[in-house]
Amino acid sequence: MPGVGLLCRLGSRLLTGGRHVPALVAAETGVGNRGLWRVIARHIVDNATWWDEHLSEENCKFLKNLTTEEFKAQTASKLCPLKDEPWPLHHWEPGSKRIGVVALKLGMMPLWTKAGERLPVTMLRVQDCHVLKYIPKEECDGKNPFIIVGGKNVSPFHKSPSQLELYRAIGIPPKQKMTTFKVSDNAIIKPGTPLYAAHFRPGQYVDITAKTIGKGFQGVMKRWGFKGQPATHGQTKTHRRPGAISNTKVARVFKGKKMPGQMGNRFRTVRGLKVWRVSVKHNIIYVNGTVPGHTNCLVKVTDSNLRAYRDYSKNLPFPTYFADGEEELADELYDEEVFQFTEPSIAYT
Amino acid sequence: MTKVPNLSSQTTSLRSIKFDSSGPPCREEHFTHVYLLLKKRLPFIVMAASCRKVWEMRGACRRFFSVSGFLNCKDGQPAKFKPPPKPVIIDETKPLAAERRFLSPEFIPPRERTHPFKFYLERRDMIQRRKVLNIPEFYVGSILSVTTADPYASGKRSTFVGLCIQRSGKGLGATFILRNIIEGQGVEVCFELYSPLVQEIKLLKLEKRLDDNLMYLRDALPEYSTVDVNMMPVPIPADEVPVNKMKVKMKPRPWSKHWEHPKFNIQGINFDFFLTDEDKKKVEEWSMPWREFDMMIEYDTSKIEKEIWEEVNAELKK
Amino acid sequence: MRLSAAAWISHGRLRRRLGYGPRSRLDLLRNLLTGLVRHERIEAPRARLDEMRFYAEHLIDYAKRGDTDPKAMNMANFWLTEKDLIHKLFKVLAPRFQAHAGNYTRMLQIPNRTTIDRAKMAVIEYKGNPFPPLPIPRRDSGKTLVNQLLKGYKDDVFRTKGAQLQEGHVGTAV
Repeated sequence: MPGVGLLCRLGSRLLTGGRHVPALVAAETGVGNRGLWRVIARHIVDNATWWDEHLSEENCKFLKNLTTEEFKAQTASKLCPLKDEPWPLHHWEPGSKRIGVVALKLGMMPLWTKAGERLPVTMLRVQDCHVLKYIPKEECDGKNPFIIVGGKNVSPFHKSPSQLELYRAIGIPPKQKMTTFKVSDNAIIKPGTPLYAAHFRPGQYVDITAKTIGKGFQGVMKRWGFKGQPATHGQTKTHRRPGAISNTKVARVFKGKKMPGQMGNRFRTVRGLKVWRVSVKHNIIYVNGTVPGHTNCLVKVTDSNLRAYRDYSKNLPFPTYFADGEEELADELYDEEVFQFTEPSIAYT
Repeated sequence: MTKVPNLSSQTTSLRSIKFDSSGPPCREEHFTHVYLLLKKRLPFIVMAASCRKVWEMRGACRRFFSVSGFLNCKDGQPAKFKPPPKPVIIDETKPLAAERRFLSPEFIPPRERTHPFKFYLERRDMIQRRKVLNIPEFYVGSILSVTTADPYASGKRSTFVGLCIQRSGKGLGATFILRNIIEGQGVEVCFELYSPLVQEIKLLKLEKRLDDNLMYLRDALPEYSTVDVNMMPVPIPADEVPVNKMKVKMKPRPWSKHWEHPKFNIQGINFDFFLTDEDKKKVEEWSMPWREFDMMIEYDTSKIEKEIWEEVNAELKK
Repeated sequence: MRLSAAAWISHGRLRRRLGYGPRSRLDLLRNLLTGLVRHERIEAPRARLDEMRFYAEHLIDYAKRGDTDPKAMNMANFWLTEKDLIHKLFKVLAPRFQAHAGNYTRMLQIPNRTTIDRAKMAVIEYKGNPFPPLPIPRRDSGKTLVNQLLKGYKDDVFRTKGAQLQEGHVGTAV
């Protein structure tokens, strides 16, 4: 029984040596965790610690509760920061560029138009989205001011102190994702302002940026859709290869030649997606078509930069929608063309 | 003046009749009169009452209807007779069907890493649509008649009657496929359950089959998927959904798919008629008998189903 | 070709690939689980035990249904290759965990094995076994300076909160 012997030795060394043989300290895996990657392996050899390593369980629980309450209070106090110390609000002018939001991709579902056409839409949830920082244009590119926006609250215990400093200065919970938006001078917003889904309105067009699903190192057929070579007719080891990559006259390979390589896991932007429906109550944007990234990833949503839709923000809330009760909105906003499920069935005449 | 008790407090009989309940309450002594009136019109009530005392029936009457519409009681004098309002007959077989606690399969979220909130949002819309369009309880193997708006049909509506051979999709995008043989030609139509183009879904026959997917009817003899287009609805059984244990006769092989493969797990075909011993050996090779013991594959939805059923039911009743 | 890319690349891998295929994987785990039920504490490569833990817990769930349940009996019959253990499962283990809902096992990491391949090793046990307890790493006690300071702060917070509640200020930040 070598196993039992090893165990006994382990126990005896632990009892005698105590903390002096830290490399042998066994770790209990997490209680409810059955995932493959959630097993906590304890290595005390290096200096790194995790946040609750030296805390007793009560204190750990207390700190967690404390932070949740604190964050709730912070969010509640920031519901309408314009009231206490407003930054001047400007009106829309041609060439103005509004801020965008960070949203969570929930998944897809169908909607129907009033003509009976089926629309695939992606649901984006604007969750805990706050303006974090305003950088005046002198400090950045000199043309436009930048605004940093964060989305989705996370635990503060896994953020570095330097990151936490920023959040503490503004007084909002730490965020999972931060993005920068270039805005025009008249569209700047005070840090700490919450952003909502009603920032966007049905009928407008948006651009969405996110990291696509990573597919690893892929060949030419999957990555670029090349046809490959035939399966038979005397092929030797040539079925999925690209074939010739240039010709003898130029005697080099052109830059940008489509080759095998890393596929996915890079930021992509899709432009000009129409917003069909906005749920003000639940903070959901229903955007036409597909959006890069996997489900539950955080995406960056802005007004469309396409020339055709650039002046569309004329009738939109500028610089953003403030939930201070000035604007009365229904729970659900629909585009005119979209069928609402409370209506009777469509009948052609 | 006596008070009329709450109208909705009694649902004991199979069928209940509702009269117009507006108007002031009236005196008790006229109820015998009403009872006699009813006796003429509605014999089955009398049947129900024959085993009880009359005063009990009077109490029951009081609970069911207020009679002030046709009895005017001023100073205790019966006024001029007015014909009673037309009774609204409520068929209470439907609530009985609801007691079956049927939850449409598209409400059950698939096993994936999507946030449950997404399914909640979809469910909200599905319930809204179900309030407008009555989607009956049906299974694979039931016979349905679906009327949709169709810009090219005469009358701008088209109706299709067929056997439901598949239900697929989750959430708002759920679909079902109806199959029928029309003029010797097999026709399958895939309908979206929540599409606004659907005008009416009528259940003609409620029935289950041995399998959850009847795609193999494509390779079966045509009489098994032939449904009479002008079929009259068969009354819905109140308690249990009948299971049709019919075994289907197939066309000679090859079929569009290897229906004998254990992954399809088809009970509705008697393979002994169609497979040789060699084929059966091959099927044995394909089988994966350990799969039923792999607990990681199991997806127990009973708890989710119960929660969702309660939520949906409460919303639909509003 | 393009459309099938998503189908080819599976990112949500749920399980490890062990042995020579799905059947071999289950056979391997089955033998481990039989050993666990027999000895109530075994050690093996961590990856295998981590895979086996799920089945070990769910087998108890099935056993709790009772030996009259055909599904439970089938499961026990499959997962326990030594048939005398079926009795132990239903008569010893199931009553032991009757009051608990899940979390029947304890798994600890032990030093890598040195003999063959330096694989990560672990030990797994059913809770409530008769062996001497495993040396579970304990958290630091509450006697350290950090914990004492935090405790003092906690008391302060609760005191101020109680005072505020008495004065009627409800819902303020801590």
